[in-house]
Parts: sequence; structure tokens; C-alpha cells
Amino acid sequence: MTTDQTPDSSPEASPNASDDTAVPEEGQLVADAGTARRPVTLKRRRIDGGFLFVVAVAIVASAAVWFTKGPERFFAVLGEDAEMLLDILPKVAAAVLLAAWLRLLVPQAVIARQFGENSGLRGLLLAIGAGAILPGGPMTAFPLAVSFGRAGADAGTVVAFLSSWLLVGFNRAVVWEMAFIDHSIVGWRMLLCLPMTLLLGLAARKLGWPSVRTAEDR
Amino acid sequence: MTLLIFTGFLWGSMLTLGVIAARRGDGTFAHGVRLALREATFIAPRLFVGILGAGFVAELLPADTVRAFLGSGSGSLGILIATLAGGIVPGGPVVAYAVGGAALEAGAGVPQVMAFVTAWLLFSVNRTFVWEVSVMGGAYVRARMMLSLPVPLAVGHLALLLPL
Repeated sequence: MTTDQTPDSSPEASPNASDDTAVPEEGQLVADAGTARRPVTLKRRRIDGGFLFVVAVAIVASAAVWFTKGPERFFAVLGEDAEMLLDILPKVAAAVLLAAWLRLLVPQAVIARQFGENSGLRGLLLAIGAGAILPGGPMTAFPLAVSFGRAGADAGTVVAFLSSWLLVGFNRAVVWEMAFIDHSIVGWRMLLCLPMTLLLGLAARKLGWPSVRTAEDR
Repeated sequence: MTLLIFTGFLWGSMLTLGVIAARRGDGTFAHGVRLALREATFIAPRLFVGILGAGFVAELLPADTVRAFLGSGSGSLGILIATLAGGIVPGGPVVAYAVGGAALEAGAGVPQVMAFVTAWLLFSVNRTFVWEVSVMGGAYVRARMMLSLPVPLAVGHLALLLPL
């Protein structure tokens, strides 16, 4: 099996087991790149409603600055924004390349297998690590979480994994968050959120959690 | 210093994986580059427009009002307001982070913005209803949400102690 055919998620764990939609080529590499779609439509549109909305806001706001504060302020803001863009673009390129090679070199099945045998604190820490570096968006993360559950991981491990993917996910933070928010603030936020993922996992374990729904229940 | 470590880590791991992919000699390297390029063409215009929009919106926001409700001095109430806002902000990452970035520029406090971002990450309406519920099931998602409710408030209050 070549890496080109690595499934994005095991077919039986995908949200629509009946459709053969698990095409890794179409899966996002970066968390939340185009999540405003239904899971059944894997094709992302380059231009969608959300993007048009952001474009409209940008145009209206820039015009408003020009007319209320004058061209000088307009160009000052433009200059600051251009600096931010130049600063972030190389990092985005690196993060996207990192995600692409990571996906090709570490097939999901390999990750999922690690979680059946590992419970206890070690399992939680592994799950947090996996969530932090996992490339891809919700169409990768949620089916993978389900397959952890089916490989024998307890609910606490699954919660720790998902919370980590949300709160300390590396590629989302680099590509999206650091583009808009100062790096040191993003770094501190991730640092503060890291122990939270462990606490969430431990709490879920303590509370007797509802089990993850699997494909058979659907 | 932190930035240096982080940048080193990012480029270091990217180059390491690139070398591993190249040494496999089975097209993994080129395939990864193709995937990355396609993803980048999707992301780049969104970042471009989002960053420009956030800058202009921040310029227009009434700084006094933002500072009053969400400034460093707004304390716990500001953190609570930010948490609620983060939980209901619609759309994807560009909208959410652009709002956070614009608020920061207009005088919102760091703890408040951290609470906002954390709440959006945990409770994003779009992600939850479109993806999580359909894959994980309603009971599971409800439980995760309930458990996560205090987290943005905790992060915001811990951030009050930071030297930022």
C-alpha cells in the first residue's frame, strides 16, 4: 500500500459509513480550514459564504476608515497589516508542509493502534500529545476519536485527545491564531490550556462518561 | 526567546519530516508538497482578507467602550462577557480570531481575549453542530460541553496572574 492510498480515517469510523467518502486527498491538513460545510460534502469550495462575508466586512471597514479618518490613517493601518502578513506567511507555509508530510508519514491507523493498550495516565498523556500534533480538521479528528474508543481507549482518553486537539492543536494555532494575535499571547494561552486538557480527561474518567457512539449504533 | 524556540521547533520538525519523506524515495515528498500547496491556496486569501479586515475594524471600534467592557481593568466581568461572546461567535477561525485580534488592538485585555479564544475553541457552534454531533453523538457532546464550561473562565483568571 503506498502512502497515496492512506485512508483519512477507517471507513467504518467515518460519519457516513455508507458513502465511501474517506478520501485523504480531500481531507483538510489544517484544523478548521473550511469547517462550515456538511460532513458529506468533502469538496471544499474556494469561495464560500463565510469567505464572502469576511471580504465584505474588510471592504466596508476599509472604506469607512478612508472616509472617516482620512487616507493617512488608511495607509498606516494597511502598512501595519502588511507587516503582519509578511511575518505570518512563512510560518503558515512551514505549518502546512509539516501537516502534509506528517499525514503521509504517520497513517491514522498507526496512531489509533497506540490507544487500545494504553490506559491510565500514560494513555491520557499520549492522547494529549496526539491531539496537539494531529494534522487535519474535524473530518480527521472526530472519526479518529471514535476509532480510539473502538480500539479500547476509555472515554477520558478520548476527551483528553479532543480537548487537546481543540485547545493546544499546533497547526490551528500557527496558521490561524498567530496570524491575528501576538505570538506570546498565543503561547501563554496554549500553556495555560495544556493542564486543562489533562484535568478534562481525568474528570471525564471520574464521572463515568457516556460511551462514544460507534458505527454499529447508527 | 519563546518565539525563537517556537520558530526553531516549527522549522526544525518541518525540515526533519521533509528529509524523512525525501529519503523514502517513493514520491511522498512531492505528494506532501502538492497537498500543502493546495491547502495554502485555500488558506492564504482568507488570512490576507481577514488580517486586513481585522486591522480596519480595530481602527473603527470605539476604544473607550471596548476598554470599559473588556479592558485589563474589567476583571472577572470582562472575562465572563468574553467567554459568552466566544461561545456564540459564528463562523470559522478567520472570523473568531479576527474579532479577538481587533478587540486586542482596540484595548481589550489579554486575559479577556484568551477567555474568548478558549471559549470559541471549545464551543464553536459551527464545528459542534456540523461535525462533532454527527460523529460523536449528542450525549457525548453534551457531556464534553458541560465539563468544559469552567475552562475559559479558569484560563482567563489564570491569565490575570501573567506578566503580560
